[in-house]
Amino acid sequence: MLQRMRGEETMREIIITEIKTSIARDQEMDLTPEEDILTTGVLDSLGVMKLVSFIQEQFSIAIDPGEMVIENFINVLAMESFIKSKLASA
Amino acid sequence: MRSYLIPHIVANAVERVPDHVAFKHGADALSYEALWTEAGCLARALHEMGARKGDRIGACFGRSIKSAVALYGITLLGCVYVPLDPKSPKSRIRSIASSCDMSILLVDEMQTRSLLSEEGGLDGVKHLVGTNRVIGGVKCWSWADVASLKPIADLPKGVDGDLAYILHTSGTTGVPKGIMHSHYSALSFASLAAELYDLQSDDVFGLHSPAFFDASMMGYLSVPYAMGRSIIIPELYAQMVGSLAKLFSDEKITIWYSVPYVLIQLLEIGAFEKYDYEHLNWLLYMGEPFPLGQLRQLMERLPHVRFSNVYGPTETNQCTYYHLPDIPSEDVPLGYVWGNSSYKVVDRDDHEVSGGEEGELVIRSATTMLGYWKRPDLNEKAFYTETTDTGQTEKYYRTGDRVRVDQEDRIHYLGRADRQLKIRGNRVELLEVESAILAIPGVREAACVAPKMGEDRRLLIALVSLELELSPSVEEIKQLLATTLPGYAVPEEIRVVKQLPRNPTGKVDYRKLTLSLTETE
Repeated sequence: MLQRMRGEETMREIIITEIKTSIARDQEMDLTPEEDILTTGVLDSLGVMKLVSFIQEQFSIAIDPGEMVIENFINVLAMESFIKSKLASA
Repeated sequence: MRSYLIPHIVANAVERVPDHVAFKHGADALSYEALWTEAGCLARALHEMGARKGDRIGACFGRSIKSAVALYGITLLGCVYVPLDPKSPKSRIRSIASSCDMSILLVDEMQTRSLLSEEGGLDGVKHLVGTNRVIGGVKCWSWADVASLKPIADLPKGVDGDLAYILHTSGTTGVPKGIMHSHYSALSFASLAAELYDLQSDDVFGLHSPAFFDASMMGYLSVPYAMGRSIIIPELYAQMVGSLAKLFSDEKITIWYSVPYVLIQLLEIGAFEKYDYEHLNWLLYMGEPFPLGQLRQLMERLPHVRFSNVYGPTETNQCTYYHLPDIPSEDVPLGYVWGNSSYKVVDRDDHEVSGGEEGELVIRSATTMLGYWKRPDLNEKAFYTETTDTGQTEKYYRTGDRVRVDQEDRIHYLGRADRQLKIRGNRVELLEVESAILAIPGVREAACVAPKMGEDRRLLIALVSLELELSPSVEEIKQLLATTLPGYAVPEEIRVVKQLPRNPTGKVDYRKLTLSLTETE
């Protein structure tokens, strides 16, 4: 649960850490916020679902399945701005 | 020209509709002419690498337009196409590459990061096609290198009984089983499917399954056979259902083929209200039973579409079909055996059962595999052979599926033979338990497993995922099940999960599911 609005770096870092530790299970992997994680095989479909659940819990937002579009999840940067827009409209 | 080898399919289409788009994948599109040229260049490149008739060539692609080039290019040289899952563990790819004596592997650089990593290469692989990297001991060919060659345009010397491709399934012991199909079984499948669904050159096929699954063969073989167009659903869209819904509509798909789960996801996001699917004629599903409630909703949303249930183990391509006559009120049968096929239902002692009784489905058809690659032990067990009065042998493939035939000659699926278990001495059919759980309002997915807990004890466990708005509790589910199932068939343990593990086609992955249970314990 977020107690305060965290800085941009933090939100990115939270997602990147989650991908490395729980989803891709590869601590050593080099993952930048701009990197395309959907086409490069970093995440498979189950990985995507896990990440969506994580984001919902971590940032207390409800993601509508209709929002499961490429533009929102292509990379960590896109996820961050999507989460922010959800938080802003909440 | 009558097609008797796989490359004839494209050669025929080039004569009639050279400019027609055969395959499309995102912004990439290949006309029949371009496909023929690319396949010819690939065949030339393979020949220069030393490949000869009958050699096995690996094609490691997810959802990619190169799968089409690989299938037709490899078979154009008379070689054997072996599609592989780029995301499967390296040990599995290594084991298949070695069992198939593969010295050439085609890859998609984007999808094979770990495979191409320096450490622990693939023994025996001397050539990699599709990468610009420099890897020690391996000669790498980029697609540009391949395209610069003079295409081969002559069809190989061969007969339709020759081995054409090998598909691998997991196998119960974890050792991949290679299912060998000939040009004959492939072409038989291509023409039967084209006829059954009346495929035409203006059809647009939604090819959702990746190339290493048999379900993709309708898109790769039958659609080109009918000179239509296959839309290879890009990996991205397969993962993002909101984007998939739009692509499905934008591409004006006329025939869609996938597991039920993909369609259920589309239903859940309201895709059928949001977008226009007026071009859709056929919705084909396979892989597992369609939960009745969701199937009914889908059919109500799409009244102009014909729905059909497709069934057939990878070993047979396809063997039955059932075009739903109207919105069903009970479980949908597998239906009827299609053309060039015959079947029997046999009991445990291989005696044919009398009408209406249950037994194992065994099938004899033109679309059946040659056998398992280098596994005489499995081939022995896989077939049921009968000798006629005049001494001919008739070979039936044992599907391992339990069925019964009703009075209208429709075959009904009763579950896998190996999913019928004894729980505390009582016979339990796991599929039946799953259907009972799925019938409970608020349950989205259900899967049952019964791991052995000792010499003669099994624990019946159900994993369920729930709908957001209406979530019954575990206790409520158990109470409701007690009203529809015998006591011993009510799962002792019900675990709520966010979603069930599924393989890349979207089918429940029971192996992963069982592993996940032991992992957490």
